Amino acid sequence: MIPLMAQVVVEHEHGRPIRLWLPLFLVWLLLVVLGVLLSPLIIIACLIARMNPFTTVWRLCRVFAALAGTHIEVQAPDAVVLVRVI
Amino acid sequence: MSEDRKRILELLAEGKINADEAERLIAALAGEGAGPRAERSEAPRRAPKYLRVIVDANDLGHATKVNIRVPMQLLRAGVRLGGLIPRQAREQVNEALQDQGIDIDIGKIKPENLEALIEQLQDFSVDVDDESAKVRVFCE
Repeated sequence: MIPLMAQVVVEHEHGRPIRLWLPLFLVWLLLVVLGVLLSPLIIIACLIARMNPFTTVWRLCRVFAALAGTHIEVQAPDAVVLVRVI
Repeated sequence: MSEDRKRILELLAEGKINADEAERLIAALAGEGAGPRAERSEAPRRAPKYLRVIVDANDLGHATKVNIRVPMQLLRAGVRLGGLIPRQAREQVNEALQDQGIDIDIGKIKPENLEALIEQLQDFSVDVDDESAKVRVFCE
């Protein structure tokens, strides 16, 4: 299943903390539109690199879909970083 | 007490078998009973879903904690994507790996090889327990 949300938290010792909930489903919609608009360029680039454009796009989509469940958390003395893909 | 066990004890009491034979028969009975249980314990193993890396470091009083969870699905997708790398680029990657002493042809890493590897990762665990840091890599 494709990830629908991402949580990004960056807290510095000095400065305002950044806490974001990113609605990835909106990002996917934008990417689909962008992909359709740029499809001629993507196809040309793939043909130059001798890659099948459809396989390439499909495998890239699978990488994005596989991001669900990723959790990266770093707690240092002066900063905290959390990236969670849900 | 089961009927079989009772019968063995009766035979022992009657003197038809000696203590050693009785013991062997009882052990054989216990083995029969354990058979299906042993088979049940070897039920199909679940492939691990995540690769976890946990680091708990304490350098000069500065505590740093790292907690990473990478879905195995991402590794699978990455390997499949790696199959698309053009040959020229693949050769460059292989050369760079060889320069680092890693003799691997990334073109030969196939998804089916990765599946076999992931299946075995269930038992994989790395524990480093140092004065300044604890590192744990495992699959769950």
